[in-house]
Amino acid sequence: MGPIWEHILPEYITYWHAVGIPKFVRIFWYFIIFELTRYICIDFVIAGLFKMTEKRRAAKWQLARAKLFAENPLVSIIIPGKNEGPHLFKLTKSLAEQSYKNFELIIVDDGSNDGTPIIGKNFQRLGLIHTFLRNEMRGGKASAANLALRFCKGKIVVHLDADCSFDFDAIENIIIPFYMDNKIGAVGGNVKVRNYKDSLCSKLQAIEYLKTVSIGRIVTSTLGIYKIISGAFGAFRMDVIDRVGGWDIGPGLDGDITVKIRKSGFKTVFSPTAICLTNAPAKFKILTKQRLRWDKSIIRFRVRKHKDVYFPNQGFSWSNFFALFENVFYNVILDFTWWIYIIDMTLNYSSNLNNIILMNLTLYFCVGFVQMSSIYIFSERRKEELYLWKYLPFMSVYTGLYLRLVRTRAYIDEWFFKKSYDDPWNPLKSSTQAKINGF
Amino acid sequence: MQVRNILSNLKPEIKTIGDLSVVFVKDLTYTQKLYEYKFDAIVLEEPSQLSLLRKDNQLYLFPTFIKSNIQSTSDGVYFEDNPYLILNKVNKLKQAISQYQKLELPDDPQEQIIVKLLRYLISRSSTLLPNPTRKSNIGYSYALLEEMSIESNKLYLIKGMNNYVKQNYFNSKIIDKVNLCYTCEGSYLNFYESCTKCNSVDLKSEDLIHHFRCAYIGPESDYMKNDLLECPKCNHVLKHIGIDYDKPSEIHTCKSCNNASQETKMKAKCIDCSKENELDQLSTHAIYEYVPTEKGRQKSLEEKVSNQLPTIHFDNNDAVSIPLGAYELIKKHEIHKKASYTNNILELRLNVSKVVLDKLSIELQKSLLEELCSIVKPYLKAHDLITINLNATIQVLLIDYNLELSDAIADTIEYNLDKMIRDNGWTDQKSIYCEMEKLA
Repeated sequence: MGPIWEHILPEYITYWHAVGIPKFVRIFWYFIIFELTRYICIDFVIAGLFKMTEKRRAAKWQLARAKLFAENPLVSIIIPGKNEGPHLFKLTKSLAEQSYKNFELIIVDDGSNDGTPIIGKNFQRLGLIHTFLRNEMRGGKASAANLALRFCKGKIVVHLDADCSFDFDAIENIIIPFYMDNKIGAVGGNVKVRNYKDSLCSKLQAIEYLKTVSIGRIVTSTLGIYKIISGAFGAFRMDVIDRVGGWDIGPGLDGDITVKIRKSGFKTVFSPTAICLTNAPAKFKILTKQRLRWDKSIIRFRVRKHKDVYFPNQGFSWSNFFALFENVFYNVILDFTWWIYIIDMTLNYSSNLNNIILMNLTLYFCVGFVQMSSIYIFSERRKEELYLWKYLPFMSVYTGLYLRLVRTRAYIDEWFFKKSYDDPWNPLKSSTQAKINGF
Repeated sequence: MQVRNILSNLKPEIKTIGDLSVVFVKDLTYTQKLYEYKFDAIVLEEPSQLSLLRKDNQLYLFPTFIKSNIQSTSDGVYFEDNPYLILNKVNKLKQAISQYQKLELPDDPQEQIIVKLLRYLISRSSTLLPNPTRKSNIGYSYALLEEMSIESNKLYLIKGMNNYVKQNYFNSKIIDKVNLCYTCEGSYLNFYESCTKCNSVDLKSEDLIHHFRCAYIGPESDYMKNDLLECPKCNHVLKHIGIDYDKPSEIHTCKSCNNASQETKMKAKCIDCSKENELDQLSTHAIYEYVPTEKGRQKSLEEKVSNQLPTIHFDNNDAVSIPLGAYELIKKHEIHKKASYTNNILELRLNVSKVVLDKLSIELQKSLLEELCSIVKPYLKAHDLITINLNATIQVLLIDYNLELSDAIADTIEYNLDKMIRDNGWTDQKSIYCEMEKLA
């Protein structure tokens, strides 16, 4: 028998048996106050409400669908990007299968230095894409998307990433919500991980996406505080996006434009049935870079650029306040609170750290399974996603430690050093100007 | 009396210059007269008469001079005040052409031209050079070749020359490439940019400006405000290219239909026939300089080239494509000996729809008919004959067929040719009309 069964486990059980509830709450205050309430209680309440209203929503959805097909508006699908040529064929094949057919496809090549211009022009000639635009000099994703906007003829604009593929009804399902409420200015699609079998890294992201994107966004959308329309799959009303002046420079431009739309008085909602599959980074090194970029944008946009939503002013709205506050609170404030919790435990319970760490892992592990159960209820890909259940034990370390460390580093880098302006994701010329002008 | 005076004025005049006798010709219509004289060189009063001279099988090689200093295929200019200048050149040419004096030309007209051309070029140590000229519909002419030939279609002549290159009588060196009108094969084209949507030429082209600060991107006119560039999105004045903004591409706005595009449709309007060609419709032809080879030199020295029909191709098991004249001759002969066959002799006529032919230039019509012939051949027996008549009809002589089999073949051919033409997008209507006639 190993030391676990001989010593650690019996000691662990005896310790927690003797601890009692008040001390348990004292030790796991962080988990109980923040994690359990937000990710279990609120999620399950909303999930319950969501299920209860299913019939009413379905009827409303059918009515909106009928209106959509009666009007059959032109939808402009825009795909800005650099060196995306190799993805274009698969993308056009995926779009050709769509149940909604009245769309134009606009590709913007943002200064590619590979074969993208040749591929794009050929595809245009072959009629696989309607408009191929090219900027000889790279200007960044925002300027490329804004260029595409100029050529859009549709009533609705759908922004996609070139490496994505879509369920056959994804386009239909992302534009139906516009026919449910004319105050809806933008709709976010449900992004899932396509390459979840590639590596442990992509498997863990697949679980994370299911939790934060699929379920997390149903919850925020139901609460009216949905604040990020994914750049990989999002739909916008043309008049609304025109009114907010299109995209501003990133990184994090998808979250930024969602806030701009909300601030201009329109609703943003999530469409869980508009399914888009994307490739997640298969290596932790690449994932770290991606997450550093995403997390820096929370400070840059949600804390700095849109700080006006936190103050009572002319355009103040509680829903916008809560949308951004929820985001900043659960990401930034709780991240630093977690470090306070770690210091608290290290100073006050140093002799029992083994048991505390083990119990934390146990709690997060249990919560993970409970969350997956709610995902299982909602998901349309239950069978495929069952494959991921066996990797749930790793999620405690992935979200509880790895992602926290990355977030902390990103927040410090951005808060003190404004490192997002040095990110090569954007061209230096744009970042320099954005930094000078405080964008 | 008057007529006699005119004729006497046109009569060739012989002069002796040094040890050479030179004939001065006013009008080559009376070339027969020249055969009566013995001379070493010819001086033409009219340079335009060079064409008649080159066509003449006895005179084409003679050292020929003209009196005016214009570009021509003559051997030089004859100056009346200094006639002795030509002596040296005439003596050299006399020596060069002496090797051909006793050699007869072949009977076949096409063979004649190539042999004459080779002899002329070799005797002058010259090459066949294309001359750029506005007078030619393709922009170039091969003056010497055109003078020797009765064919006036320049592309046809070039095609013929390229065949001789394949037969190693000439080496070719590319000089230029010409783009020709799809309909009339003219080279006088006006290239212009037009709207991708409505084809209008009324386009406004502007630079796109990308403002770094706010990522706005739009045409320069969006930014123009009181002679300054001001961003319409963030109202910031753009001062410094490369620092505040750049110009990543262009945008073309059509003033007719308001369509904005980064691309324009390039078109080429033919000035001669007004056809608006898409660029990929233009037919591109290489223009070469032709240099006689050693094999060409040997060909020029051949005693007499056998009289073959060069257009007859005997493929292994296919029916035979032959010129129309030969076809009609053989047809009569086959009808005459009908008794030796157990079945019928039939003629199948395949007419290509006028709708299709009208879309094609003469050159392309020829290519299409030749291609159709090559598709028809595998359906025929080895002794069947096929030709193309002057009305662009493919005639097939089916020898020794029963009616059932000939009908089946006709149906299959008609279906396949029609499908081929429709699949190529030339028409969506019936494109081939088939007629069958029982000859014997």
